Amino acid sequence: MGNIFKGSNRAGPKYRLIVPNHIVEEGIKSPNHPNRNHRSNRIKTTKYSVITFLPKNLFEQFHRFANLYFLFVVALNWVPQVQAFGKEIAMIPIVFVLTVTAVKDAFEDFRRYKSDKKVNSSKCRVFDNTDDKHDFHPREWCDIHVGDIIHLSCNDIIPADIVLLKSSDSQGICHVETMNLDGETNLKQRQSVTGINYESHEYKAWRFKYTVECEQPNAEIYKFNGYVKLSDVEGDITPLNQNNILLRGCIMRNTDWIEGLVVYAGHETKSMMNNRNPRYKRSKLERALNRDVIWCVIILLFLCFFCAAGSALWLGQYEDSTVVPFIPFESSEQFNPYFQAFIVFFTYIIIFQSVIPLPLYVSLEIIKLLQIYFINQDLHLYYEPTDKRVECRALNITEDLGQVEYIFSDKTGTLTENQMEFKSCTIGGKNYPHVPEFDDDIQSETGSRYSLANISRNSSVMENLKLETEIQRELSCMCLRSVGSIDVTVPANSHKNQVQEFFLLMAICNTVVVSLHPHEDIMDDEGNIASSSNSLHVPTVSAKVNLNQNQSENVFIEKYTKLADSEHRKKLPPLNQDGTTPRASKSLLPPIHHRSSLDVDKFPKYTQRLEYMPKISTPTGSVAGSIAGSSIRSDMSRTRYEAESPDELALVRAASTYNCCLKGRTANSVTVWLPGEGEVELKVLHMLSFDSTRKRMSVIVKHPLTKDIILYTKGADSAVLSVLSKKYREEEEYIKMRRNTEEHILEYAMLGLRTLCMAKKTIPKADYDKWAKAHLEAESSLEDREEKLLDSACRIEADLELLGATGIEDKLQEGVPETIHNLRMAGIKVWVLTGDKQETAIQIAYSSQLFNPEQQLIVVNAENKEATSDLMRHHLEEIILEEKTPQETETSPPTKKKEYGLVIDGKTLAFALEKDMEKLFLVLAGKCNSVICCRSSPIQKGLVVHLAREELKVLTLAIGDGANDVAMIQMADVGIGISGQEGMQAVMASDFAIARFHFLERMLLVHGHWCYSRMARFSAFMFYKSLISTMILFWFNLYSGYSGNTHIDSLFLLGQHVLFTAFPPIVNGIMDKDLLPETLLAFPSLYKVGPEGRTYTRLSFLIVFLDSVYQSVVVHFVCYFGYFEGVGIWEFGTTMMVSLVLSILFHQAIETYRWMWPQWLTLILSFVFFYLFGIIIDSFFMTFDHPMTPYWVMQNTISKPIHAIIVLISVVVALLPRVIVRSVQMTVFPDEIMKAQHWEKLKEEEEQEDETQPNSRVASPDSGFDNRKDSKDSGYDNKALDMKNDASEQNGLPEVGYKNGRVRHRQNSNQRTNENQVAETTT
Amino acid sequence: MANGTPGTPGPEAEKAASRRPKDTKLKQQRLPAWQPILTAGTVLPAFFAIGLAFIPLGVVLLVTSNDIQEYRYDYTQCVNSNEDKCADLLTNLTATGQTCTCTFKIELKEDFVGTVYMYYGLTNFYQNHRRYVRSRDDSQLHGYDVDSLYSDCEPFKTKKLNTSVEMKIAPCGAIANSLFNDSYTFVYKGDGTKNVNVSMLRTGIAWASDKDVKFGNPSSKNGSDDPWAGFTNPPNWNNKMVYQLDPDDENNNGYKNEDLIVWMRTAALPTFRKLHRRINHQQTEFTDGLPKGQYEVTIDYAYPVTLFDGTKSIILTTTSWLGGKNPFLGIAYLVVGSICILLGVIFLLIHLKWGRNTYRRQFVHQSQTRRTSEMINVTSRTTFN
Repeated sequence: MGNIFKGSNRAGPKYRLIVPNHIVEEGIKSPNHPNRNHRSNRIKTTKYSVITFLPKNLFEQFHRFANLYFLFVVALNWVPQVQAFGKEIAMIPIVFVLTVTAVKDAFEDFRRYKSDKKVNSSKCRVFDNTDDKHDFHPREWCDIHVGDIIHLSCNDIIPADIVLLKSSDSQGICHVETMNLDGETNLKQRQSVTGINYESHEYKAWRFKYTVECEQPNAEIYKFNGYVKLSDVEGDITPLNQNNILLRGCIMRNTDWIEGLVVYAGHETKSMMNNRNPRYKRSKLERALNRDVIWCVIILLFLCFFCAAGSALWLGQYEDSTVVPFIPFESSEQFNPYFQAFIVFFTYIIIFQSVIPLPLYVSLEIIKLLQIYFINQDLHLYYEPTDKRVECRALNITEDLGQVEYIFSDKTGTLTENQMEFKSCTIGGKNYPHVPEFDDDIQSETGSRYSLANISRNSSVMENLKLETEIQRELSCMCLRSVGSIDVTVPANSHKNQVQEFFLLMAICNTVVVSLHPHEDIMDDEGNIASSSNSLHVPTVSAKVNLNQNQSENVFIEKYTKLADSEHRKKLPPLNQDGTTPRASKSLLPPIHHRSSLDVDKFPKYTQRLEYMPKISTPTGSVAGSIAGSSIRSDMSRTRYEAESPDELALVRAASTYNCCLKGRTANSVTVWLPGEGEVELKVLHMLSFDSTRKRMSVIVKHPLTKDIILYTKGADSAVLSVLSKKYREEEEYIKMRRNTEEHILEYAMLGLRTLCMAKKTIPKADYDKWAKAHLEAESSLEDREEKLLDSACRIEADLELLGATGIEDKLQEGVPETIHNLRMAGIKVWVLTGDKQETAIQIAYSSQLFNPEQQLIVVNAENKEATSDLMRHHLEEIILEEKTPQETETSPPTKKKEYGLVIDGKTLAFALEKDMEKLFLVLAGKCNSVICCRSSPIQKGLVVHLAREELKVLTLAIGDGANDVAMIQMADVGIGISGQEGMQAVMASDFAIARFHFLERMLLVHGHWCYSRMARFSAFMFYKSLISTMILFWFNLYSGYSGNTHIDSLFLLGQHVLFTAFPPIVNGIMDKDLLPETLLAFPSLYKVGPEGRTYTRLSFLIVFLDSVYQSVVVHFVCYFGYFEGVGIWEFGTTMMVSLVLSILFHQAIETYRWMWPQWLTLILSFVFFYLFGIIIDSFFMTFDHPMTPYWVMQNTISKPIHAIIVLISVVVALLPRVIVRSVQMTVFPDEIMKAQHWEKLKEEEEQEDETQPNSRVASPDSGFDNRKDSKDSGYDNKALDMKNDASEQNGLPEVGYKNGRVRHRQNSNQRTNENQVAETTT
Repeated sequence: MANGTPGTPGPEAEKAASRRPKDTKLKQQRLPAWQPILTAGTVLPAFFAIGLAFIPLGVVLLVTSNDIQEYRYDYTQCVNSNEDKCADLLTNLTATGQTCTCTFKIELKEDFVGTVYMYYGLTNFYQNHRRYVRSRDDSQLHGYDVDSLYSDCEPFKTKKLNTSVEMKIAPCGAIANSLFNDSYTFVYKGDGTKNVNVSMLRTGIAWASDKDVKFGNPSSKNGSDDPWAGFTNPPNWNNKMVYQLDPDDENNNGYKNEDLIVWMRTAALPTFRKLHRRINHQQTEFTDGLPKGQYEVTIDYAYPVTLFDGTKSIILTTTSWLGGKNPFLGIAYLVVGSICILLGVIFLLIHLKWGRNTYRRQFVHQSQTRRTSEMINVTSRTTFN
């Protein structure tokens, strides 16, 4: 705090002075008001206002090179010597493009404006002193000013940066969720300002009459300094720090209500100052386009030089200019061929401007915008339970979705639900596998519930865990005496003791926050204090809470009802293949189901945010049926947990299932309910929170009876096992226990469970005091604080006693194995980057089809760099050797190429990613079809993606859901965020946000493919269009003395790009489908077209160029010879223009795969529009269009039969080669897309045939499509099952079901891993 | 979307309604579609159709073109009575304003049946040069009272009559200045016995739209009776004023003079012909066209073309619905039609060989035994190779 005092002595501007508004009489606006210079809470994120829009937008648009170029061309046209077109007409294209872009910008800005308006008009209760009632009144956010005191209820969004003055909590604590700010979902504690003496009364808003000084607004969200001036006396202050401030955008949680003083508002809030603009990404195709635009520039320059040189030569043949009647020069000095060549060069730049496709970029933007709209609208990518569509955040990389070569995926929360379930534990070397019995129901139920509750991680869904009888027995008389191991009668190391301590640890060693009752505010929306009597009655309270949470709750009602429906539906068909036991065991459940659904119906609004812990089973219940028969203890039924990570939640929930129940937690105490003891409060001395280096967390508590100081640690097995006390390496008994535990851990990992190790240690008082002192020092040190704290934590976390370990299951999301399988079939390499341990990761890899049994597994684990290098080299050589062998024996039938899977752990990865090794690593990884990096840190994830992107030059996609994936998501070409359990940060950093992993399949295989195919064809077409219309002019100039003349009306010429032929390609770019989605999904290998860039290759431009040269030659010379001598220049040009437009439109028609009404409409309208445009324009005598008045030219031209005859033959001849090549290719050498098109056609024909036959079983593609959609509510099951059956039939793949099949599969894969371990070499 | 705007009430507060997309055919991209596939099989009927349409059309065009009778005579190097080449005289004598007259005989080998037109043809004359094309003022030609002429008319915008007086040129610009000004008289000699003047019409040679609307003479200026006051003639016009182009016919004088109008409609290519006269078929000798025999042509050779290596010709021709004699289109249609037929045959062969090819059969085979649900699965394993 010292620096505050210093700061206050410095010059004024460093600090801002805030006077509470209620003690100042005049309005905020008045000139004498002390807060008048602070901004109000109105926010404005719009870029423009109505007045500034035009200049500002134009200024921004001219930052683009293409626009500048065209501006230059337009400017050139104003130079009389150079002028080629009418001055005004030459501006049409650029004006058009600028207008379209401006409209688009205006639209986007308008959306921002609306969103601002919505934010600004949110309501909040503000203390109002105007009437003498001293009341809080609702006021719009935008009318909140610095100095106001506001009142917020639980779950309110904080409208401005406020200093916390008062919280409903007796200790002045409040919790906030900073997800919107930094993406962290855990709750953060904030402390109200202490030390203020409210005139010796308790706090009331009107009693706060002190001024506050704090820093000027800044963007540092973790820093805040200031103080409250208690009196005019120097030094009589209360300091403020970051613990006292609540930042705008955070959500208040876990606290009934708070009141606070606004210190920063609107744009001066820290969140607004941190507001970043979305990045601009450029897609791979666009980079290819830019390359070809350069070719266009080269062509342009070549044409200009050629014509300029031609001009010089042509002029040079006339000795005396004055006698040549058709070269009028103002003076003979001008008749210098070289000077004229120079001048005409610029004229040609104007004339040939269209070779650079001006509308390309703006059309691309329009197309992408609409493509995104359609992706967003796709019902298949809509996730009902969370009511989420695809969110497209990047607007310009849709086609990159179709070119993905590598996918880097997170595991937890991405492949899996991130919904943890306690599955088994080992205590003191004894395994307690909790064999699941009614897995089936749990999945559907908890799955949907959990995702529903993902807004905050408030869940206390009762786990349908089968209790281990033995554990229950051990725990039945759990009491502190035994836990503290002071009871001399019990041997300190008895198993029972261990079990009890194990569960105590599970209950307390975490950061789970408990709330005992739903939050209620004493004040309603209008600022009236509610009478306290109401709050006693629970349902009424709930209603009140709902009121406070205004409309947002409505959403939940609806959601919940929907969910309930789907749940019922899901329960109907038991998909188990043995189909026997579930029914029977399920009969035990109905009471619970019934109850919970009753709860739901009664208080639907609770269940969303405030989910109650419904029941706790008593220990007296005998065995498996104990849940069903359990009574409900009323005092516990109100408990709900809010956890930072789902693992912790699972542990706490598991512990409470065993009646070892976490009841409450404050900063320095934790209350638990123990079966044999009742409620006990333990004093928490220290909380050593989790970090990624230690990979463990600890809590130091004081035993209430023995006063012993005990350290409980839980963490990754490696992190805990490495710090066990010596006896685990020396004494037989302990070694055995340790070995057993390790075995069990391995077993859990094999089952794909996440493992956590638990350990404890009793610290002698003296040791503790010593350490505590050092720790305090570390805490308060200013330099290297993190490191010192780490050291300090490591010092105390040593010599631990092993208690046991837990296995938590993280279920695979639905459809993950199919999706990964199909993505791999599509030629995409899938890498999984996870923080999990290797065995778990490998297991998940098998169950998610990342690895298949045919794949040879290469495991690279090394302790140092040399070993890593050797190992990788060794494997690489083997692979290369393997690859060579089949070639030597060519006579043998071609064996299937061997596939490899690479597993590398974090440590080894660190070596592999070093500069000199990365090449080797990439080569090795490149040989493998799938790669798993386990135990990798967020930075490593980012690095791997970066490496692949930069070194392999591949298009990467990263998908993840958590803050630890942000680096990777940002690094990748396409970042996809899963809007799942872990907050918004991944989504915020991503380009696309989807709700489930399996949506990725459709995103890539269907939408990606479409977008790529559309964009590629569109771009090629745009180049064709530009080139052909330029070449037409070029040929004419060969016959007009290289004078830079155009024979086509400049209105036609300039309108051609933006009006006559602009829309059909755009519509095709948005809607055309080369293949149906069903086909694309059924044949994932069709996706390869995109990554291999086959639709738009380097040759595409050349082909387009040659084709447009050919077509323009045809159009020009048919006209040239057809008209022969007797034709005027404008007739000649008009006929050519008609041929040109028709050629372009028919060309587009040839390129269209699927004709829907928009295509018909635009194609026909384009031509009609062009024709009418010509006729109408030529019907009026206008002189502005110097040099020519095209009066009646169009009419005269088209009324002559020769016009039609010329147009007909030139269009036919121009398009003949394309049609020939297309159809021959389609018939004789079809590529995969074409084959699939044939297949589709065939299917369609057959279906038509089938329709004629009665009782046909074959569904049409559409109805098949619908069927699937209908069954959508029941999840992915139908398709999944189909795929599965098929998979096992066709390839002998093991059956990978979600349900009962899972166990079997695991066993299979265990065997497999054992086999594969032969290939493993581990150093 | 409130992307990047922290502090926005979360999406859950934004929408009370479900965000489920609407299930419409358009939004779900399931519009009914027609999917033509360009294969040899589907394209070959089109080829035959084009071939069958083009060949007869080509024949018609060719016949039409061949029916047109045309006679062309290049008189660039014609000589006057002194056996001097007018072209040479002209280069030397331009300034003096002297004229040179050529007289020569042409012989039509057969009767020209129907309406006969007389064209003059120029070669190497770049009427499509950028500067040339622009060098006109359509407002002036329309008869508007223009105060200032287009600067593109330079250097034929104004003319200095003497040091102090500078007058606007009517009509301004290089096109008008270079107005073709040879004149012709035709005398029908028959087999040498006859001597009938072929009378020719000066009107009806320009586009009606040009004559009626685009070109118009200025009305009298305020006060002054003479609408041409204040204007002078283009320098190359040998003192002829624009209102002297056809003094006999009020409706063919000034800007409305059809020779001028025809000249002002610039040609597309450096080799061009322009319609000059119509034969007056009212005359008893020529009611059915021009009879075969000798004609004596007398030309006031005034237009220099040798300076730019040009030639000039007179062309006598009948006409058809297609225009002038030009076999190109007929041949082109025949050729393209034949090619299409040929392609049709080739495609037929391709179709027979590959049309129902192996992969297609493979799919057929598979789909015969399929059940709906299995279809996708079976084939998803099938690579397309």
